[in-house]
Amino acid sequence: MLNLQKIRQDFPILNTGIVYLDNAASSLTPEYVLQKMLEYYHQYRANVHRGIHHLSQKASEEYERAHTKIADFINARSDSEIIITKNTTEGINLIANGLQLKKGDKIVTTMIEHHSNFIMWLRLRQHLGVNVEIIKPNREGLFNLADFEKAIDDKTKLVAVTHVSNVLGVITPLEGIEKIVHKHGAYLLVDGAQSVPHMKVDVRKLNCDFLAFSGHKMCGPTGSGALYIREELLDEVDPVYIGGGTIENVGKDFYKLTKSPMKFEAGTPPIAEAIGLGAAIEYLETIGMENIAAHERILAKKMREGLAKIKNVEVYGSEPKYGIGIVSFNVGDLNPHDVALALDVSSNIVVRSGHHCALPLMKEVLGRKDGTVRASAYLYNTEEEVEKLISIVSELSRSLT
Amino acid sequence: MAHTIYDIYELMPKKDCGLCGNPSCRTSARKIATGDMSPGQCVNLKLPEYEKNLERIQRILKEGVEFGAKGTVVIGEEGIAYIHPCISEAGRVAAETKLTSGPEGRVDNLKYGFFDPFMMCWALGTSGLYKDVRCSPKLGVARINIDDKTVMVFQDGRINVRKAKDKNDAIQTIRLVSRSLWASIICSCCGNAGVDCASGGCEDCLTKVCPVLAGGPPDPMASTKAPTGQTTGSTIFDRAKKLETGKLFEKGFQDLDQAMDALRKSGQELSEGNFDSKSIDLLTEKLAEANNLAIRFVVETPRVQDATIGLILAGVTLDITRMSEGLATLIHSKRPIEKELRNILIEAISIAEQAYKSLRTVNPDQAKQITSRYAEFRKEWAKSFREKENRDSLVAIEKIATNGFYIARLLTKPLPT
Repeated sequence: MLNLQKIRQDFPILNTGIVYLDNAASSLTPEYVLQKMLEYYHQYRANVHRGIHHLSQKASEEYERAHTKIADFINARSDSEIIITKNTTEGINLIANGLQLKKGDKIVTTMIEHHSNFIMWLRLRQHLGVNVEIIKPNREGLFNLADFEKAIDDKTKLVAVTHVSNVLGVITPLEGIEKIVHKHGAYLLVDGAQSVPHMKVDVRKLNCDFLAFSGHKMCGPTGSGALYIREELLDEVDPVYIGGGTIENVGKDFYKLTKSPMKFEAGTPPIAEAIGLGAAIEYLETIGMENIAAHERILAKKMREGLAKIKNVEVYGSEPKYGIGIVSFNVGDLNPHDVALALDVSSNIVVRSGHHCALPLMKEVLGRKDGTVRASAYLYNTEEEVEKLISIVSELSRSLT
Repeated sequence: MAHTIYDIYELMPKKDCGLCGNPSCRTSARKIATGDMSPGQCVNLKLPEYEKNLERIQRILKEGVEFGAKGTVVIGEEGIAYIHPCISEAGRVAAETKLTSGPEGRVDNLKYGFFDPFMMCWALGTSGLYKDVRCSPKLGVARINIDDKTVMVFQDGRINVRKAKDKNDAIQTIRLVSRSLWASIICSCCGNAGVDCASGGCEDCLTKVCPVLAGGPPDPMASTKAPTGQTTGSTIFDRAKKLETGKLFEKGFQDLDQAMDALRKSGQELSEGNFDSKSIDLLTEKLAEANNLAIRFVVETPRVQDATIGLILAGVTLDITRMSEGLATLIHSKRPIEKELRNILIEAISIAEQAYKSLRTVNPDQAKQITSRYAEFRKEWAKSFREKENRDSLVAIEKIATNGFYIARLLTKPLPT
């Protein structure tokens, strides 16, 4: 059980009475993280790596420590496997553009992906002539592993799947997929944007090759994120940007790149943001990822079951045991944006509405071109807040549909 | 805050008796929620049968703003915020507006909200302009289907249109809905909805032009300019005659003439103990017609300054509606009206009737007489209220006279031109 009263005090924005259920888009930031970032600006603001003075030394130390915290958090083997990015999208693009794919290579992805793990594959098809195969789940967002068996062959170079659907909250069966991927010698890229903030993610257990996630969805600042690249593949991936900080040596007509992670982190990195992300990890670990996941399971079940019981409300996704605290729904024929606005204006409940950057899912799987309303919970949300959401949606359905 | 106001309103006696100085319990709930009025100022809340309600209101106030409720509304730019092609409907247009110019021009703090959610639902539902309206006063949200367009109205002043044919269609639709909701715009000064001010129930608006009536409904295409001229309620019939829509106005008042006649008849029957429901049915029917015509007049009269007088028709309709509610209470109490009460009832009906007559014949002297008669009435009434047990009936009778008194004040009420 989480000490919600104490946790909520760490997020002063909650004192305004807001019911914040847009966590799948961005979480809130606790005071601890802000303080750690301010500490950098107040006490040792300097550039990293290249300074000999004590401020730069301290900044470099803290920046590197952020890598260690991230590595430990996802159980990576070493800090060199962790590249600081500004978000999940940047991490995935780094792989898409750095993996040196060529015509005839095959990429397998799915219909439930966020555009950030989708359109770069379509672009590679356009630019390089790689083949892209897209696997469709059933209407609940559940996959049949046989479809992966069929799609993944020896020409497959990369399988890019999300860990958790950002619309349905459904968890992808990565364990089964991983075996198929590696049987064919392909690489597995996992979009961890919706999983890493909410559950214990262990890259060694997952046995994935790449994992990208964002800091802003896990109590960290915006503009922070990380990409995990399995140690053995660090030389397989070319950096997208090179320049300051990425070299070992440069001459008049040559350059030699340094090792990871520095070779991927060109220019002055987002130092305060990386420190903030490290602090966010400390914050989450103090509470315990298992505890957070257990708390969210309770909220998700309540939310999903409560909403599903309301007349005229359609809830998407699967039963709670397959998912996390994200619930997508529609209220009769009301436009999802109108529902979201009604919740905000009338009751100070903030949720997201529309297609959630997952148009293929909306069009091909759910058949809702207007999109859905999405409520997503996190560690600071309470059962009372979920009850309030259910009661207001119920009133909306009763009075407006 | 929206929820706090709603919750408090649900606990109010909802008698709209006017004894606290506000013409309706909606206004009182708003003022109580914002701390502008103490719940103890409501005479009815202090009666034993409302003891628990009073306690609960005090508890809400003590706990502060209800869990999850919104604070004051901070307003942004007026006009259309966003107009874009519909993603899901090729060739159609969606527009989102936040009507914020407000009755006083630009104000920073709409502490009572923008639309009165109850009057918002009432105005949309009773105007006859829309065939398919759904509205939740609790959430302050309405949904109107016009042809294949969907319009959503939110109590913070937002009007959003989806699937409009084109930009012009979207703007015209917003304009139409905005006009038809004019009566429900809340005045930030007094906390009354526009129609309450137009009913003569607002004390503040007797010495100056009511800002809601003067400002008009915010127009998404033009910034609202306050009218320059000023006149009084005594000119409304002459003004209406000159308008193309004047017939709607006149027909509305003809309905009210019949409604007042039915009210008088019902009152008489009731005091004589031989009540016939036919009169009260006619009364209800005529009030609905008048209301419908009032909103139509407001919507169809081109100039905002002219359309204002339509709100007076809506206001008087509201006054007579409250009188008929008073009568209904007496009818439903099923207790024979005792002699003393009977005399008070006859006087209340007479005040209401004469007040209405003074307005219809534009007779300021008669209106003045009503004011002094009403003062006398209240003295006698207060004495009975202290002594008698039958307080529900007494409040119902008082409501009839008070709304008559409101009508009598309309002749001198300043109006914009």
